[in-house]
Amino acid sequence: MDILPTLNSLRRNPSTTTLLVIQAVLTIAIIANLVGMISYRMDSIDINSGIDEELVLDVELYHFAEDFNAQQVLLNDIETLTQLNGITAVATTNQMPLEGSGSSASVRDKVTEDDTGSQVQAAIYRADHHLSDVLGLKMKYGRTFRPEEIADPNDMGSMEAGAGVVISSALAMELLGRDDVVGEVIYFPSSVDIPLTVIGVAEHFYGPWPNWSVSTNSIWLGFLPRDNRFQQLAVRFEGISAAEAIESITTQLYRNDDRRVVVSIEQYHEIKDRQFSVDYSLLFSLGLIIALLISVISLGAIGMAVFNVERRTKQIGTRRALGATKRDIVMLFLMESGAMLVISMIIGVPVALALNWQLMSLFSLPSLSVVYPLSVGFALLLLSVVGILFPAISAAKVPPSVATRSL
Amino acid sequence: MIGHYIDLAWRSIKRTPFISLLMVLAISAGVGMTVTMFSIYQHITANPAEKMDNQPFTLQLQSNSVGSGWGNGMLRQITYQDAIAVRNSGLDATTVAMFKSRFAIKSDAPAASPIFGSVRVTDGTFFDVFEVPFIAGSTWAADADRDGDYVAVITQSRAQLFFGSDDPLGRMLFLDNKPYRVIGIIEDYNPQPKFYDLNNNPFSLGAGIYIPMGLAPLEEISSSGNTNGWTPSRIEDYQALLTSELHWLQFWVSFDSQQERVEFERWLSAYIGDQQTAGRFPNPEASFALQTPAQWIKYMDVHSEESDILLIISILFLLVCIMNTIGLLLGKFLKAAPAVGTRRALGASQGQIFLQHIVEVSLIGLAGGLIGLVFATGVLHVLNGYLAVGFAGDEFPLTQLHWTMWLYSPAIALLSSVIAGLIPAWRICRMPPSLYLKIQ
Repeated sequence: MDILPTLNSLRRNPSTTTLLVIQAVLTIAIIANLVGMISYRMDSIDINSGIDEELVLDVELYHFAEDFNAQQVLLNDIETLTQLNGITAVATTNQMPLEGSGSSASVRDKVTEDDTGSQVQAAIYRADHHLSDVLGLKMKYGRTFRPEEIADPNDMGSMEAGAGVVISSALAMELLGRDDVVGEVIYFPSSVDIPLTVIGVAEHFYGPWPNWSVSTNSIWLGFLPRDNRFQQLAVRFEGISAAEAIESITTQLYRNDDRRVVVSIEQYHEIKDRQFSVDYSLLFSLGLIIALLISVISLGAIGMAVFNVERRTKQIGTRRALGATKRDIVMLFLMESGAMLVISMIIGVPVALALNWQLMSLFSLPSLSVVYPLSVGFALLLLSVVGILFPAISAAKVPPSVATRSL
Repeated sequence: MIGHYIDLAWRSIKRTPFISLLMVLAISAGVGMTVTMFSIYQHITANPAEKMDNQPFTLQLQSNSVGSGWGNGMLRQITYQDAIAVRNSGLDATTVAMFKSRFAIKSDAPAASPIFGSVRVTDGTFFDVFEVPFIAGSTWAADADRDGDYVAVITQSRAQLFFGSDDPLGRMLFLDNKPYRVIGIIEDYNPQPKFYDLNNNPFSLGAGIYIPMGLAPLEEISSSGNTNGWTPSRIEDYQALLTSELHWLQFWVSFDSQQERVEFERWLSAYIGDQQTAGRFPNPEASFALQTPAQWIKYMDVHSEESDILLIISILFLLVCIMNTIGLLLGKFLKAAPAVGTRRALGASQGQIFLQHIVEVSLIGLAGGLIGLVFATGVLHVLNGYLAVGFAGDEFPLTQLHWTMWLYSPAIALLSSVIAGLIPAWRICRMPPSLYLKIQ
């Protein structure tokens, strides 16, 4: 079939053609950009915490007793909670991975007069030796803490020289250039420069801030809880429901000491979800707009196709009378719609990229790969061909006699 | 005449129920999405202090070194020692120094168990400066700001929570086991964004309990907000925090006259000079800044890109919906051209035909606008559900569909549909009647 009659027919209905092309161009531009944003966001929230998110609870406690002794109370908590049915491990910690707030400091690979060597930011965990059991930390090299290695921060105020630390493999790579570093010495914090010996290197060991550029740089110092009204416990349970675990832990905590408030006790995945709530709401909105856009334009295009076919009944009849087969008529409509989409793509791809530039100049967004508008264009092409098929087939059924009758 | 057009329009709409529904839904989706995103945008860019005539001002004092600090080279809060010095200056300007903290709070009822909640430690001028109305009682005396007094002003909803329907005035609240006498009940005060303290989450709710600033050194109350430093400082005890160079207080000031402001600024300049002489304020160009709530909201850059992007995208989406409607209207009107030809032949003018079609698209637009409102309410509900996860417990202020949307939504819908209808209505009224009469 020749392309010329198709183009001719498009030219004869300039307003319809223009409208459809503008719609398709805008649709390609919008959807391509939305899909680009979605995949960008997905990357940033798709974090493998390395934790059994359903089986770990985060407990935040606030103590208001005047004579509060953190270690006495918390060590008793660990002991009694561990005896509860279904509770397999309990740790005191100052923060949880990806929870949004916590502490960080800089670490050095060596101490030199002229301040050379590398200095790297890392999240600082102060937790007892149970932390790895609760979080399920996997050690790539070395080991975790032994109970007798856990220090009392109230006695020393800081770390003792030569004490062991567990660090994340990402931190090892950034600070020392490799992660097989058990036995090496690092210096922390940078203002005091206490030498610490690496005893273990952990995989998937996130700091508390998901959007931090070095979110996988972590150091774990083996510490008992410091005297502070705020305390945090990480609990792992198994074989019971989360609700049961929360219930029995809360009861036990108040039984141990009622001069405190269990500020929150929740499953780890809730903490993570909270960090990404804005991302989730954005993804929902973008997804909704895409779904609506596709429904509106495809239903609209079908509607216009139906009108188009009805209006051209006589033309189709004439063509049929002059020898066009049913297949020719269907092809005519398919070609028209296809040609329109090809034109839309030729315009739509640059428009999509232009829109992306515009958005990039206003907001911190990544640049859009040309693959996105192209694939959206092809998807639209496919969609419109399927959409036009049914009106076109019914159009092809117009008997040639209709044409001759009313003329 | 309009009644007749509406009747004709309704008949025409009924003649093509599917296409009409499609147009209504397209308009409602476009308008609904735009209205939703506009509501969120409004919520985020609002200036809750708009009615306060550019008062009060937040004070930034440049006690930090060159190179530290934000856009204007200053930190976002001020030190305790500076806050107290400015407050005790004896100037006529009304000042508020404050920070937020958290306590275990319970009522004096027997067997009450404590909850954990936020408390604002502030000067008693807070309620006057931010125009927070009292329902009962009043704020504390000025000397409580300096010497401390175990009293509290609480919000209506906190009063309800702790004391139910009883009169809360004179009752006791226990903060970390210490009794505080309730001396005032205020209306709930939750400006969005929380412009008087934009640290941490600017869209969280305000504290429900307010206690005098003078208690801070007595009770060694620590801040649960941000504490910023610009120089290494060792904080051994609470006294060290009070005399440190750490920035952790919010400070606001309001002036009754230009004269007050001039005197205040003159005093500040002299204070900065004194501090430089005393070896503080390392920046030789050290200065101060006073910013109105609107300027402060902008400075703290609270509004998120996401809302801007979504607003732009939803407007583009509305544009596609309008295009779509134009196409459908064109098809529909042209199909009914023979009937129009007959009406023209029977004496209807071009203007009348045009008006009749505009009435028809207006009906469709209005229906779309109303459904769009329902749609927007639903989408906002879902989005609030997502966003509420980001807040702890009950501290999430919902984004409501602003009441103006009940006007905007139908207006945008009407405008969109009329714009969509212009070309098709114009085309159809210009049709020569003879063309269609001939065929019939």
